[in-house]
Amino acid sequence: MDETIFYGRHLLRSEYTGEWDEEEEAMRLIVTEGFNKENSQLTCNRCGTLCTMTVSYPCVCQNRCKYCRQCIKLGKITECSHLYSLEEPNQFPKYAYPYLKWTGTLSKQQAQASKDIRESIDHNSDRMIWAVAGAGKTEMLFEGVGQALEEGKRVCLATPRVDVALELAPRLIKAFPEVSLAVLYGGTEVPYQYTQLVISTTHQLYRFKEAFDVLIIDEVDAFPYYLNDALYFASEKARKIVSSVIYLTATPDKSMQKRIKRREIEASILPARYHGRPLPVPVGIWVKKSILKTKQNDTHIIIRHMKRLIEEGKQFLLFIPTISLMEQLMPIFEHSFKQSTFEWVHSQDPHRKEKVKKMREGGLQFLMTTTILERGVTFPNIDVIVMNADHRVFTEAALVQIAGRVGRAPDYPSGEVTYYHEVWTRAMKNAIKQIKNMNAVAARSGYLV
Amino acid sequence: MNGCMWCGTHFDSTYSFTELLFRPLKKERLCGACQSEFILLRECPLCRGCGRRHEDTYCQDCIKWQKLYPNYSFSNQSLFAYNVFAKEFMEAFKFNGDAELGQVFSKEVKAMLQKEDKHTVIVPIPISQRSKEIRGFNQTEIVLKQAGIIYQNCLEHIDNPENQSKKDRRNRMLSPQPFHVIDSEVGLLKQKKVVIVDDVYTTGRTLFHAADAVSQCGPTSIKTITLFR
Repeated sequence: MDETIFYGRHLLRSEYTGEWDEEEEAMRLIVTEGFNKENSQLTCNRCGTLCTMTVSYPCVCQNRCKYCRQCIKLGKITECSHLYSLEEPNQFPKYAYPYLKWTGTLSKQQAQASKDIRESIDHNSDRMIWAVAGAGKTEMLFEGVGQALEEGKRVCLATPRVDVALELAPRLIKAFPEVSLAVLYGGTEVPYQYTQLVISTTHQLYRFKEAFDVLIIDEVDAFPYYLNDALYFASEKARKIVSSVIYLTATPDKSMQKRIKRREIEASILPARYHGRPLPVPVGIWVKKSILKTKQNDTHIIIRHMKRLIEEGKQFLLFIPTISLMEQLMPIFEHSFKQSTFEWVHSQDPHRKEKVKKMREGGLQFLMTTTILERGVTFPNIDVIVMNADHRVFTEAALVQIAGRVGRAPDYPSGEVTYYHEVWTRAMKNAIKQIKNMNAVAARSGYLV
Repeated sequence: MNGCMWCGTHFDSTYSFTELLFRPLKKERLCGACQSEFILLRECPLCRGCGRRHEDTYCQDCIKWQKLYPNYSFSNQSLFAYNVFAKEFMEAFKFNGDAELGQVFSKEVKAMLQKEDKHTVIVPIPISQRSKEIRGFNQTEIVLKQAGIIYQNCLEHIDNPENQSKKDRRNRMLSPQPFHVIDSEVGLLKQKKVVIVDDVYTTGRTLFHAADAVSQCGPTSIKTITLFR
């Protein structure tokens, strides 16, 4: 039996592909029940979800069992399941110092944040990094991660999205070329290997137990509120009892902002972008009637705005709250923008990547999108228009992220963000307030050029 | 507001005024987008034999079956088209073992089987011992149970080393009869209308074997029903 597979992990028997030796298992592995039974309530030990199932189903154990639907994609946990793990021994090879081979330079605020992170890792304490979109978050992790790795600590970088995980991997491999690294996500074909550095989707954290000395969670705000508890459970389980967790976010939610204000969690705030120009402040424009309800589409305020941008030759993203609205708008746009090239993307679009690439290369004049492009993607020189900005999918965090798409590149540090709306929402108000506030902090701290 | 069983998105179910007043509120299982992925076959033109979407009276496959089983007046009814979405769904239901997903079919299964008179014997296709060991449950039985249908386990699966769904078409057609009627249940089927229920009609091989085994007991008629075709 390959013991290393179980170091710091929390696995079902079916997840181990090698040979299973009953005697050896009894001797070495730490075995826990799949479900925690308390006061006749069942809680999944892997994902922490309370089981609300009312009936039990026939099971492989010949009896009837309830099971956990929340994490079933990782393998079914039933009342008769067991989870296996081994204590994390931190058995890693030593390499030549320094581990970090990255030689770039950090901006003033990045250097400060980098120092903060190093200290937190040293003291095994938690820290929140609140950095605006485009501040350069990955680079300021390098020194802290490098130091931890040199001390033999196991480090994990978790992100909610597979795209981001895959994008991070080459950057980390380049920075730490010698250190063993695994990228974990659902559907990967590479079998799991015990490595010192792990890049993982947050979902895969369920498969770890007391494994990491340093756990970095990217985009903690990317979760809908009802998944927050699950993520918290996963990260608390995956970290060691004495360990450090670094949260990265561009748009902390209300409760996080409160915790920062009350100093319940140590925080580093990075209000300025890497290039030192202020964030573009969104403008809200009231729309009397939606495009769908007007007969003379061409004179509609949004269409006029779009035509103006096309004449100026400026690329732009058009955010639309739902796929169905996008479908309804399509014929109108096809009529109004006959001469222009444009595309639309949404979460179910198989050609998403190609379309985004085409946009980036300048092949499209504009791209219609749902909130899937709200974070993570960078286009050098664009404007942003948000249609129906008062829709409930546009939360404060989403609106801030959307505004953060503009003016990312040092060569084109400015641009326009427009929220078209029929009513003012609290989300819009707070988003604009947050952006203005960040700019003010940046100006005060002297990070702007 | 509740979460969609398949994609997890929260959605609001809509009820009409009369529904609110007179019916116990039944929770919708799927959101509108996922529900629309299931294509109801009764709204399409179908092959009279196997019930697949087909413009003509009988499809090529059924003509072949009629030659092979000339005495069996065969008609199969299926609820939904076995499209890509359905395949993914059944994968999660059967192979990941997410038994709760079977509830999605309850309404339609109930509507279809309630049409039968009460003396009809409903027989689910059994699964092999091997599948039972891996999966723990018979998906067809689960669906029937969730729909509140009373059924009889008359058939037994005799050991078959391989799983049907892992075989290609040619090998499936060649597979030998895996079913036989349990001795004590033979009387139950005699002079009765029998409805055989399975999850997916792929080639028809399984259902023809089952129908063949049942017909030895002298039922008045045999019908087959599947969730997907």
